[in-house]
Amino acid sequence: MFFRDKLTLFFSIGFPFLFLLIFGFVFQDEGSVSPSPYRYAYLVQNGELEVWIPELDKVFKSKGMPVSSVEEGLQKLRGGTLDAFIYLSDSEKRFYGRDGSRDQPYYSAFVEVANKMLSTEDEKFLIAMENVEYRLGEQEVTSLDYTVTGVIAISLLTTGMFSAISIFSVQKKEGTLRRIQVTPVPGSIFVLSMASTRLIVGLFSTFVILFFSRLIFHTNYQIRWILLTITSTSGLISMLGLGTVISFIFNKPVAAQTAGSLIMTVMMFFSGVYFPLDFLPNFLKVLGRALPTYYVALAVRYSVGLEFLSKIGYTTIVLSLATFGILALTFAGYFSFKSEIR
Amino acid sequence: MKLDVGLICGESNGLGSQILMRAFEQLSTGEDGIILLHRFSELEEAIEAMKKRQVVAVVEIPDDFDRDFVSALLKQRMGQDFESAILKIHTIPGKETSQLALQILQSITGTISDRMDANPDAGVVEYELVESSTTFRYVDWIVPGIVLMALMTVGLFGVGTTLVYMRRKGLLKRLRTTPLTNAELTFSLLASRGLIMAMQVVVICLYAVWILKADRSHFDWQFFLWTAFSGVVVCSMGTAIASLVKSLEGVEVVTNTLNWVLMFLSGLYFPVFGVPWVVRWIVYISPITYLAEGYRGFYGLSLAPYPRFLNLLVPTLWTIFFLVVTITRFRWSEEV
Repeated sequence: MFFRDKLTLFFSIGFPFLFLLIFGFVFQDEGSVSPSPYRYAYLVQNGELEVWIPELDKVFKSKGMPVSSVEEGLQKLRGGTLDAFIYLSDSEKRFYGRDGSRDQPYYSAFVEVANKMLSTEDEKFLIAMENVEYRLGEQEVTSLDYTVTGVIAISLLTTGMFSAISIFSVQKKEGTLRRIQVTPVPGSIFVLSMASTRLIVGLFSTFVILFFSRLIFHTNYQIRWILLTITSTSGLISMLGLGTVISFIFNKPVAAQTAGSLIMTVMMFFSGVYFPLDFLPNFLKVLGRALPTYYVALAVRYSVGLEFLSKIGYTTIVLSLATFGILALTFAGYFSFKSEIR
Repeated sequence: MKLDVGLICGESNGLGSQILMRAFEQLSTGEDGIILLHRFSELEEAIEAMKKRQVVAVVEIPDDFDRDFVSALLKQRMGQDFESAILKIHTIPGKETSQLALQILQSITGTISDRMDANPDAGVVEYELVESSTTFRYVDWIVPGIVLMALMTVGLFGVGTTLVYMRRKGLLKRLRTTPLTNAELTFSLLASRGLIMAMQVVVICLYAVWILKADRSHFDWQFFLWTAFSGVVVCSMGTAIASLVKSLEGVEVVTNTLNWVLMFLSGLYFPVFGVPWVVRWIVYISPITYLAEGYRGFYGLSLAPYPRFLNLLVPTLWTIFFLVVTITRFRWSEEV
């Protein structure tokens, strides 16, 4: 039945894989300053200095436009047709930025990179930074490694929640639950078997995402397989419970699916799985920390060696998620079946 | 946004520490402040706080920092070679906020060094900000993206999925037995969606102006005319999907896929013109990309690397294509 349900199949396997590809390809290039090109012009007084131009093209991700004078470059900059103008001569290097562009995404970062690139190698600063890194494991970690764990958390969310909505709302509407009730199979066995199949699919989806992220994007984890299995199981059970509660609250399948989509959108944007919570205002940080996906993502990161968590903290997270899921499945599932008897 | 940064400064109170503290204070005060400093007395305590996600990075001013700073400054002023004073930044690799804090703190040290340098070296880059006729504000840049996300949701789900659902349930067939003509039916469906879109846009605009303090002048006749055009494009996309996809399950999969792909790869929330070509082709064939840049182009906020006329041409071509598909392939009832 699971594989005939295209929507659930999509949300369980296709959707997380789609997200892996989108976010992986958009954010994989850590060497790049920005996922967008900036327009720049240059004026080089000495032909030998033109060696800088191909390097600047890489930083700005666009071909620089030569201008004939400083005034021309500044005029274009003021008018907004350029984001930066660079003047290079034997005696000076000038980088003109646009005051109005400072809020542009990544603008300050690329100015920093371009400035550093143009500075002479032996320029010394009074203060030097020594970056001391703290890693959980030996592996090199990139921001994409963090993003993929968010994909796994969302995968567990979509697999669990939409599966439960499909069973307790869509299938209920189509009379499937009523037909099952006339069989000798108890409702509890039905719920258990439904949860078990989704669990297998959820674990499969998790391992597929890890496999393809390693294959395509060369992510690097120190996976603790037992912990990852426990995390995925408890995460999935909690999301199955969430989906069951949604189906119980919203009787109509369309309403339940819409509510599920809305909750998924909120969880994706506000639980810190794709964008750090620190970028959000304080009240949204509080909301984010109240969402179950935040804790699922945290536990997944701990399981793959990216996050620091105490044993008590991890145990609390997985037990809480599993307890909520089991209780929700039990009560909401019971009442969903009971309403079919009438 | 404010980044929580831990600070260990021990007993340091010399020239270097004072300059650093002043720079940190400038970065943390007021509405534009970007860091929030948390002082710790012990390094281990600060590192534990970082591991528990209470701070994103820890700045450690070593005990010998002031001595090294003054020594470096004196030698620099005398034109002698010097060793930089070391400032330690503790971070977690790969964590975006940690790396962002590192970049911000690195720029502070560079700025301090530049300001203290009495004899600028010819190799140093002079940086100058030029006043521009337009100012980029992210809130003004993202509002069109939010509007388009709302329109797209109605176009895909409100038109595409709804039409397939109505066909599957036989509603379209029953409606055709009434005196209503096909044109009237189509118009009423699209008009109802248009009304929903209009309400969405009004709410978003009010929220943008009153809460997010977006520039009011951007919501002019050009904005609303472009919104109407965008509504036509996304609705035609919905009708084309309803014409090509027969099953309800299939249309849910298609609309959800398109919704999420176009949401992230049409530049609605962040610029995507520099992504790898593996996905960049989606950016360039998506009509939503051009609709978003069309909005932004009116107010000098567009970051698109192509000519502006494409913002009108590409969505128009797509609309014609969608309408041709709808006219030739749409069925009012499920075929037996």
